Amino acid sequence: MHDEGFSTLVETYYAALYRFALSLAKNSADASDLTQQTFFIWATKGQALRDAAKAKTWLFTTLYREFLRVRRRSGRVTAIEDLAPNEQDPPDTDVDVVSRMDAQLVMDALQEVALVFREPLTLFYLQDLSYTEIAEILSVPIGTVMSRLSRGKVHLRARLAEKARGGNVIDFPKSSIRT
Amino acid sequence: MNNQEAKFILGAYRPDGRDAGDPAFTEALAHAERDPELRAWFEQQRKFDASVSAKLQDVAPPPELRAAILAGARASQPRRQWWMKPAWLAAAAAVTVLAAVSVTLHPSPDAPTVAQLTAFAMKDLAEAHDGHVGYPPEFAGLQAQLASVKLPLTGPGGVAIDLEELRRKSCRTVTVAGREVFEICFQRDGTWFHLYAARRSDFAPGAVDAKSLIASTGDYAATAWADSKNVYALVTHAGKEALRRVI
Repeated sequence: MHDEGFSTLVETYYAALYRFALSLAKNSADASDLTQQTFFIWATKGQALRDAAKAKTWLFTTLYREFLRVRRRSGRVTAIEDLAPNEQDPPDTDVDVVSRMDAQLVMDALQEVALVFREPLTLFYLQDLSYTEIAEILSVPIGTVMSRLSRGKVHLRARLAEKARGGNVIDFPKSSIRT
Repeated sequence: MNNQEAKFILGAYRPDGRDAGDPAFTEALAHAERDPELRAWFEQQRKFDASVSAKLQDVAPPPELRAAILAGARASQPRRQWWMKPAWLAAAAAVTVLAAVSVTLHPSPDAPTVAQLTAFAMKDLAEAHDGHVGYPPEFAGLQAQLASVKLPLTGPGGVAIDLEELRRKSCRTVTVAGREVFEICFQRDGTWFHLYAARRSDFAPGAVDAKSLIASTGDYAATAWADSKNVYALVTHAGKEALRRVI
């Protein structure tokens, strides 16, 4: 392994990968573990990838697959069909309100959004990835990414509004979410 | 396109505007320009997205995470003996071919041969070479020269490598039988090539004719030559024909 190149890769992507992992895993320890695991897999396999432009997508895809692997093992599944329909734009969350919020509070709100929406939403807000790259990472069609972004933002706004009011949001049914 | 369709598409438009050149958004963006209601929605949406995005960027990873990744990755590297790996077989094939063709090589007992350099270069490319992420910008000039020079790299004026300059710019170095070898990557017509250069005096004396010295195994192909100062091995993972085109 070329140490300098690897260090640069870590420096460039570890923070974004950690944020994605944190939104998925919902706790710092698991997020750190997922981020490390992703780079360890790169150290043993990924360095064969010679197209630098694909390194970013490779890393996010690998992290996501690792997350799914761990999650499958723990038997947690969710189903998008069971999510409450909420396709209307909720009252606009004031942008100034979001700006005044603590970053962790915004992350908390994001973590309360159902996983199927949270996955593309987090990748979108990291801004490093286009919708086509998000589709590739999550292995879903482009239309699905757009649909989940649209619905996910509605749910995120609702949660942010609740956080701003200092209250709790009634969660979606947790019984059987399946992706 | 109606407003609902436009909203659906524009929901995937990143707030920093880096999707502006994506044709998938062209029609929806034009629609937003024409329709005041849609434009107001889009502006509000972008402000909201930018605001959430900025908050997300403020979430800092644990301070020790970066160091843990670097330390753990070093420990994660496979430690098999290099001669047991498949890539070594490719390198060995290169040695055999080169040794057979380069009849004018007369290796001394001490100095490594150009064939060894070439075998090493193939092995290095197959196993130890990292990706091209974060390639130092100091080498952009040399990379551009190597990418664009129309002469065969092996011919007079094809390439002139100043090893001292490479050392000053902290070019990647490897060692072959204790000899310092510099490696620089460059692209020609979308294909990556890897040039390994070393002092000629560090290697066994002899001449090599690069055009007759193409060794390949699978997609790995290598050649070697020398000028008055240096010896070179050029390797690619794009096959023999790709290599032939540049020499």
